Amino acid sequence: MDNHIKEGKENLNFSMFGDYSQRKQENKLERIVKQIKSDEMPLRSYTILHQDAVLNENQKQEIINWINSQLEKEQF
Amino acid sequence: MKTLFIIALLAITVTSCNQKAKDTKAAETVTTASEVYACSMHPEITGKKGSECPECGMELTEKVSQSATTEKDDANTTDIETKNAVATTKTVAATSFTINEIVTNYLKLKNALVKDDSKGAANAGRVLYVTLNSLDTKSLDAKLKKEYVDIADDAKEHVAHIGDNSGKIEHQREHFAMLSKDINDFVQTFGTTQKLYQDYCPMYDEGKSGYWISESKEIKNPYFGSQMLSCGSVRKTF
Repeated sequence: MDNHIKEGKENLNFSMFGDYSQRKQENKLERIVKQIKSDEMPLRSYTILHQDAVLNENQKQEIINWINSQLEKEQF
Repeated sequence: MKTLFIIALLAITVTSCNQKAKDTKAAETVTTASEVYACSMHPEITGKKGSECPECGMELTEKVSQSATTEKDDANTTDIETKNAVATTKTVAATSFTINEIVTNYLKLKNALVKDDSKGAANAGRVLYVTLNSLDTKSLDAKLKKEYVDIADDAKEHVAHIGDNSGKIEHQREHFAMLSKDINDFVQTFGTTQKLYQDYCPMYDEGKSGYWISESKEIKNPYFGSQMLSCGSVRKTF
């Protein structure tokens, strides 16, 4: 579990998000959409204990829509 | 002895340049050393003033100040000799920053994906990671350096994923798509000495990210490999 957190933070750390370059921010947002669509996150080992962490379809769509609108704003 | 060696090296270099120019039908009559001009983007290309660089089509405008005697074309130049000569010119021009090595390793990665070779892609990804880390950016000014670091940071993440995911080619291809964007920006920012094509496959990722950079005009799709090898078209030429 500890390792998951460490590894996760290395890949995406929202506390550091503001320090990422714009390129990296956009890339991370795109990755979030892909991860949500692929249902890989949250990890199964986590959702077994925390059923309420599973996103329903509406929640997923909501996040995806928001990210897409942000990405369009910053179209490069 | 030393001077002899240097003259020999120069001679090889000059012959190989002539050879190259000849290959690309841009052969000019051999000029005397005092009138040799180089391409401002490709210092290894030399020729008569105003003639075109076979690599990028730009006029040769940079005067080369060398006093060595020019040798006539030596038809016997072997491949190895040419390679040696290229290596020599590289060390001579080492002060100017180039992304050639990045592009070369990226192309290896791309070609592994074309062949559906996940393991090969992972290996090429690891090599590219080292290259991205070791490139000397000292000669760049602050602005370009930042640009380089931004792009390289992003690219490093993608090649790391590609390197770590041997066997999961779909995952590798996802990162390859994002890496290709970085390589595209590298080429746009820092130029290339090699003719490159920006290709695009509308079938990949709902048409969103299916770009890649290629060294050949012929389409060989790294996103679908043998499934749809010829899907895509050239979008841009560098």
